[in-house]
Amino acid sequence: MADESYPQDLRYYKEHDWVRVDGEDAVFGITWFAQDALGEIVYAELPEVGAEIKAGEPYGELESVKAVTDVYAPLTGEVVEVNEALQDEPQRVNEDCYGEGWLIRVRMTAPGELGDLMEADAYKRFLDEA
Amino acid sequence: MSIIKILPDLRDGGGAQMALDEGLLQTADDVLARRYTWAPPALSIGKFQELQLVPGLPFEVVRRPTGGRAVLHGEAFEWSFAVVFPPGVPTPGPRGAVDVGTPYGLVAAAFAAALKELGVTLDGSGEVAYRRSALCFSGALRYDICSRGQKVVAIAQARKGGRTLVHGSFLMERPPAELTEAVETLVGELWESDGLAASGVTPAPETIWNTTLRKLEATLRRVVAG
Repeated sequence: MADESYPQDLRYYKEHDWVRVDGEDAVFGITWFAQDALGEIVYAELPEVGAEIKAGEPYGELESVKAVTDVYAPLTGEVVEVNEALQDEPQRVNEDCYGEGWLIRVRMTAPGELGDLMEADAYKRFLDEA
Repeated sequence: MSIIKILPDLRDGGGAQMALDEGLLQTADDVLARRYTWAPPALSIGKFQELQLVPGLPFEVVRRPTGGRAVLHGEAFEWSFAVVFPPGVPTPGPRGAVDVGTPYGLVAAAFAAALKELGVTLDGSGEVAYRRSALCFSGALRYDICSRGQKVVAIAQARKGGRTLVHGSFLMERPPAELTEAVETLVGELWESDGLAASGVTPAPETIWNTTLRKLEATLRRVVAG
């Protein structure tokens, strides 16, 4: 597993998701803190391409060792790509949470929601809240 | 006033038991706990576990809302329990949203303390890699409880809407051969655990559960008090 980090070029959501903006798309994943707290990911249940997801609502589930946890959408949009590699290698979420462990790519339909997300430094302060 | 609201024991089929646990996971506003028994016997499988079923099985097969592997249930040899935590409990603040370890740890520690008080010798805790076994009682993981090399308590978890369900199975003794042989044929693995019977000390299930709840209540009071 990589060392704890929160890249400056990403935005962060309070349910411990990250967002990488790529044109009109946004790529979602879970943060280093989330994957560390959940433990070894053994299964990822993700939506199909074409699914509509809504900010603040669960769009998938991750199974770590015997625990099933919802994953929440930081933004609203349509799923345009799913990280199929996680079907065979779900541990990529632990090994490279900001890279090969990405979860889905979404075509944003409400890009104004980006303003509700946290910068890296704000997310780190958020983690330090009691 | 107790932190834990204790629900009545329930004897029912697996479908009803898992529907109730799922319902509690979606609605609990207090810490809730219940003990239950499975009648008729059932094999519960993890939420995403794949298993090729065959006709003529001597038990029901039901899917749990939690992760993990297959568990054989039946009132003659096993009982189950559920503890549901509302949002913000036991871990408040932003970190609580993904804190899998604390709810597991609280429940497992309560069982361990109760069993020690009742005279059961427990094995030292040791975390092992998540073995790809199809049978839950074939491999002990962190937070599982073992005595004399036999897994006694298996625990699994689900999290939804800020709530946490920790439920599990307490194996009192080895299930009847008719059931274990059917499970072995189904999953292609040998049944390994004799449960609590291997310890030579077998308190009544009600005694174990009530003692566990007393330990959990005491711990939660300390946690809530900060």
